[in-house]
Amino acid sequence: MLSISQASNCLSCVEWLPSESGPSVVQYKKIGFQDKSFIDFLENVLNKLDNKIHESTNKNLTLSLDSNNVSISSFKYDKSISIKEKIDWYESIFLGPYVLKNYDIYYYPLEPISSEVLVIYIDKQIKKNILKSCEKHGFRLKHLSIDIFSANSSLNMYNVPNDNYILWKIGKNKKHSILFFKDKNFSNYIDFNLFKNIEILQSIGTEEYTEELISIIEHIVSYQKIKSLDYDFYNQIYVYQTKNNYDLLKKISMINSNKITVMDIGSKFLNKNLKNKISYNLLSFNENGNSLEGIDV
Amino acid sequence: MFDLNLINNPGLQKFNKNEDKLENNNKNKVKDYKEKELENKNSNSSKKFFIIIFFVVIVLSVLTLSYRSNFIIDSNNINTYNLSLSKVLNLVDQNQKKINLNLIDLHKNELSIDFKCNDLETFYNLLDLISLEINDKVKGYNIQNSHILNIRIPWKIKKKSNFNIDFLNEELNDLKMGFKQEIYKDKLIIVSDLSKIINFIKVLIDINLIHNFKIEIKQVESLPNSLNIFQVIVE
Repeated sequence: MLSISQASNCLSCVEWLPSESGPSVVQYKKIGFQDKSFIDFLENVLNKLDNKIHESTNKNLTLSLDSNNVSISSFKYDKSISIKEKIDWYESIFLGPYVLKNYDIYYYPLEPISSEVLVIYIDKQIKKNILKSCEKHGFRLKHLSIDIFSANSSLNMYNVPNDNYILWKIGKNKKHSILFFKDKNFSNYIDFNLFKNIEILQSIGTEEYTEELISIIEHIVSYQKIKSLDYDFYNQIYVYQTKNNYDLLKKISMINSNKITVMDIGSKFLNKNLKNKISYNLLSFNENGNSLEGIDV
Repeated sequence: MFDLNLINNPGLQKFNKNEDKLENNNKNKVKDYKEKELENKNSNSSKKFFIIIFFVVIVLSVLTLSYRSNFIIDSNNINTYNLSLSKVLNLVDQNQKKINLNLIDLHKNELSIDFKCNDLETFYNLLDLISLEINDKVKGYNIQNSHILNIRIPWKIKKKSNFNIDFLNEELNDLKMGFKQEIYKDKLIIVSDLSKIINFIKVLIDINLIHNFKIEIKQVESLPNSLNIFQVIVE
């Protein structure tokens, strides 16, 4: 199984084999990536990996895209109108023919928490280029996900999160993303810039939770101890990053080790010899989590 | 745990766990309903008759309304849209260097104009100016640094029996529009730069023949973009 996750100009690639004791990694590598059109992207990847290995293993592939390669949006709806009817309205009045013609559109209702639908568009041409490259090199694309959503799969595989948890991605250029799960249901997606203050770029999900989440993050990045009052709202914060400077992450993880967990896929999946010692340069591999969907680890 | 997989078929997806429960509940409800339906089968035959009558009445009403709405577009709006088209084409012409025109298409029910703007300022200016002319018939999309404008106007093709492609060809020859034209398989093919093509459309509006032909305008793809040569197919 070949697993690739894209974070900006870097592809984190892992090749693993199923074994009785769980997935057994045979090689992993970070590879530079420039062509965002994904035209024959596998050519570059396979040239840089040890091909003696992947030519003998099964040719399944999973890919996680940087969220900049898709568009994420949402709309609210009235529960008295059927959701299919509302999607028809949204497509004909709001999206229009250009988007319908050129993008594959996915709708994820956030029920039962809110009457809002998360909408994800992916350019059909990008998807076509990905599939074409897979076909050319004899790979079967099994799963195609998006960065933090794929990291959530890693989290569920290795950390077994509680009912209410926050997944926090520290990205490049001070851009951060958050997923919040309430009673194990996906509830909020927030993108924000973290300069002196938090500048929300996009917020999907109930406003009440958004305010609460931003207030928690503001509190943490001021390096204060977490307020015990917040424990009713969430049980745990899981954090990882895809950028190279680890200062912020290290400071955050020192605030309260019980409530903040750095997602350490390095010692759990990639190299078990690391023995729970966090290898910060492997944190971007958390976004290869969609490769582990449905696998018993 | 939810699964976000963009290899699945697009459209409505299952996401949260409780929805599965809801769906199971719904399945159970369907099951219960079916059992009850079997029990009540005999008493329902008269209801079915009224449902069929009701359905026929609804279908007839929808057909009548749809015919009337087409008629309303036809009689009231066509002249307004001709005028709007002229103004929109002027804007496209004036901003040629700031946009990449994908398509102008005058078809049976709809007139479509699609183009990309080179920068956000042009995008918002044109969105503003065009919406002044045609209100919500223009839509703008900012997707991954592409600034796209789509125009959709209701349109009608009503062929005048006494004016066919050959007559149009002769008329254009007389007018000396300054572009290459020829008839191929009952279609008039014109190749020229955008300004001359926009001029051609405006002439058709002026001589009241714009609704007489299907017209498709596209950039000639085999040439470099910088040449900005367009092909028109009139039929």
